[in-house]
Amino acid sequence: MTNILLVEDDEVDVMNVKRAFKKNNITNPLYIANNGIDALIMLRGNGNPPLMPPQQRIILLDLNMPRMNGIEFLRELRSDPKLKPIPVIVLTTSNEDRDKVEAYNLNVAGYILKPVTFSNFVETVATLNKYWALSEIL
Amino acid sequence: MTDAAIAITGTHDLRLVVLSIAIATIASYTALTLAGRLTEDSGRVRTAWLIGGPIAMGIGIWSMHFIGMLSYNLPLPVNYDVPIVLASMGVAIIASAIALFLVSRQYLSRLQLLTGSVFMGLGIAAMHYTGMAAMRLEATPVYNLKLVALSIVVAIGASLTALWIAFQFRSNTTPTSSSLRKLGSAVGIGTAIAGMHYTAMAAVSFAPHSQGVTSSQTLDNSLLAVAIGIASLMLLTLTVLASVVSQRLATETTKAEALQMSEARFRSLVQNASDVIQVVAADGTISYISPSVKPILGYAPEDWLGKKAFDLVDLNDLSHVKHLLEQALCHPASNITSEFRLRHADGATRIFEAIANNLLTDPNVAGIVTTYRDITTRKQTQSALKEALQRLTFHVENSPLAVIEWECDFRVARWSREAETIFGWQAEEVLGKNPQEWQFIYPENLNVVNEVMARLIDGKEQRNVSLNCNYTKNGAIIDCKWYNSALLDESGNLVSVLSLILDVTEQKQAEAALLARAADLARLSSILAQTNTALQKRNQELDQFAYVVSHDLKAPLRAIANLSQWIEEDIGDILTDDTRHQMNLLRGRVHRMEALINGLLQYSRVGRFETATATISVATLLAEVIDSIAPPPTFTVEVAPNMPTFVTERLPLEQVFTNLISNAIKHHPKVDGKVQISVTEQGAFYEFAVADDGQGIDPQYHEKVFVIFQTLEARDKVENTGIGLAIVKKIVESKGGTIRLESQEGKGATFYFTWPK
Repeated sequence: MTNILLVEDDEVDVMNVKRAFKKNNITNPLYIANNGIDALIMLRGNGNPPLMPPQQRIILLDLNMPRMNGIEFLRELRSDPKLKPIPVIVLTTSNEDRDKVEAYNLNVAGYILKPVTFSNFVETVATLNKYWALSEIL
Repeated sequence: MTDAAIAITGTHDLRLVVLSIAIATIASYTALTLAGRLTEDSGRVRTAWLIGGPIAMGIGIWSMHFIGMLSYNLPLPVNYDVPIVLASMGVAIIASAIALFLVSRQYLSRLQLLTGSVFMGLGIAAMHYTGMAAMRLEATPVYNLKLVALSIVVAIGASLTALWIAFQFRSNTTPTSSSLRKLGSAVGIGTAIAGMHYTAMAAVSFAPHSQGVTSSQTLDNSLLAVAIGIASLMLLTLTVLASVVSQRLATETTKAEALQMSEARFRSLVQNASDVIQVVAADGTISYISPSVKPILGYAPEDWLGKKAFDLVDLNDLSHVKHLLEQALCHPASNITSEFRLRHADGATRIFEAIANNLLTDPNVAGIVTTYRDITTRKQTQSALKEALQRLTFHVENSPLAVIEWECDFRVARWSREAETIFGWQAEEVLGKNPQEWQFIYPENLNVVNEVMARLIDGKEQRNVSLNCNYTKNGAIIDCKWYNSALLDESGNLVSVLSLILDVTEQKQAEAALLARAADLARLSSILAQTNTALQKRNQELDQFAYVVSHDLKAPLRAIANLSQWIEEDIGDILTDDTRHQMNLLRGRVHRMEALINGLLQYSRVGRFETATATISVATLLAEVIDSIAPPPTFTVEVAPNMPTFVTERLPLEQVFTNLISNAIKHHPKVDGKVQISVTEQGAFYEFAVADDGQGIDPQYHEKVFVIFQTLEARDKVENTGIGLAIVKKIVESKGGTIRLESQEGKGATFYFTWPK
């Protein structure tokens, strides 16, 4: 089963995802990191065994975060040979073209604007679930 | 000396000696006369003189000699051998021929004169001694050689003198003065020839063959001598006479020819003269009028003979001409000049210049000679010249340019009225002055002015333009533009320089002002550029701000909305209806807040981004807009058929129409409302109108509707952020157009906006 890493600093947004998973009866293991640095630690382990299993991983990434933002995290990820193949789906409020272009240049699997209402977000997460359920993930 | 003692000498008969000298003199005179004739005559006459002259002269000399011989009495009978006598005569003729030939030549050099004299002298001597040899008597002539030599010298000397004098006479033809000299010369030469003869005679003595001969048998030869003398004299006289007659004839012919020529010349002069010559009597009757009157006045000269000269005169000048005649009568033999008009045969009046001279007392003329010349053309030319000068002066004086003419030494020759106006000096103050003589040239420009003048003077340039400063009379300094041109005569010498001067002081000041304005403008432009840079920076900051707003402000709102929903879900069992309503209100306000933020973002972005232009068909655009708005099927939206197709930015125009049309529908109180869209052309703009038949807007709110976040109804009633019209206004104005509203409460509303073509 695909392991999902949610990189998100806003607690309400984390709750949002958790609630949407619950509403959709999604049971995939969900790991939470509050910023890019924490996320890298969880992926690499930094000497300790990584907190996440090293296979079948997918990342849901917010862009606006303290310390290391989403784009910076993506660059770090893509330059690391071990982490490079992990599919990343951007989940953000930023509708800026600049962000979209940079994200796609770093090979994101999708760029999804956070829907305004919770019900819409639930639908979005349901679609995402279908995606990673169907995809062969390394 | 026995021989000498018995030698006999002859005696001379003095009367015959005198006769011989007289003949010698006459012969000489004849010779001199002939010399004159030889030069004056020509052709056959001259040849005749060349042949006859020597014969006459030779015979004259010979007869003198022979008479001299006959006057020589010897106490012995003397006979003459006739052939030898004739031979001696021939020698005399040949000698004379040589002499005359020589003096008839054009030039005679000293050597030729000397040679001729020697030949002639020797000839005479030869004649003499030949003649002596013809003597037949009973004695032998004994010659004293010294005296023989002397006689030859005398002969040559006499010949020299004779030739030289004759040659002189030849050129000197004045009759009276030369007659006496000629006679004197003739006497001199005659005496010299005789002297030679008697010297020669003195050189001879005779030795008788028999002692017993006495002087009793002396033969008297006087009769023969006289006969020869008379014959010679007659011959010589005839010769001289012939010569004189011939000379007189020649002179007469020459005079007649000269007279004829002079008359012909005079006639030709009078006939071809450009003047009319007229002789009148004291009462004005014409006694002569030159044929030139025909070409000049058109009359035949003979028609006017005996008529009054006054009839020729133009009536206006009649008294004037009569006065002229009186003047002439009062002042004889002096020239009186006048001008008057005469009538031409064709009726025209011509102007004449006349000179009258009273020669009534001169018997050759006996009249008043009037010479007059047609000066009509000259007068016309003069008057045309005068008129041309007047016209030129008029133009010069009325030119808006100052006109100054300079003599070749740069003294002022002309100073026009405008020159007086520009520079202040009156013409009389500066005429004849050199510009350096008064304070006229600005000192800093002196070199420029001198150089410009020099180039005109030395002919390097025929015209030039110079810009320099000048003083005016009141000391002001003005900028002047000088257009100078040099007038040269036919041989290229400078006659004068004409300067046209334009006062460019104001122009210069305007240029300076313009320059200052340009500097100001440059400064303003730089400020504007700085402002623009600042504005761009500000825009970037605004972008950043919008980004921050869109993410950082919207995220918490969304969280509030989500949380409220989750609370409602989690504790739904224990919520009262009031609480549930409050939860809805809470979420409604959150959504409104989000809408406001979106509107704000949209508003801030208007005009900051250029979008692509394309050829837009407004009719098509409107169809799409209406389709996207999807008005209720009961609603009518009418688009006028004359919508244009033009090149513009599609997106902002679409936004404006969308906002206006959707507003009209959204705020319409009825479901069967009507919206009409029309267009008119206004110069470089289209004015579009969106009219609805809704409730209208009170004029007091017309301004307010365009202000951001202003709504006229409670937001709860119609969910509206109040940003649509603010965005429309901003879009229209950012494209250079304007927007206005025409509406009355309850009578619908029409929004007009202009859009550049």
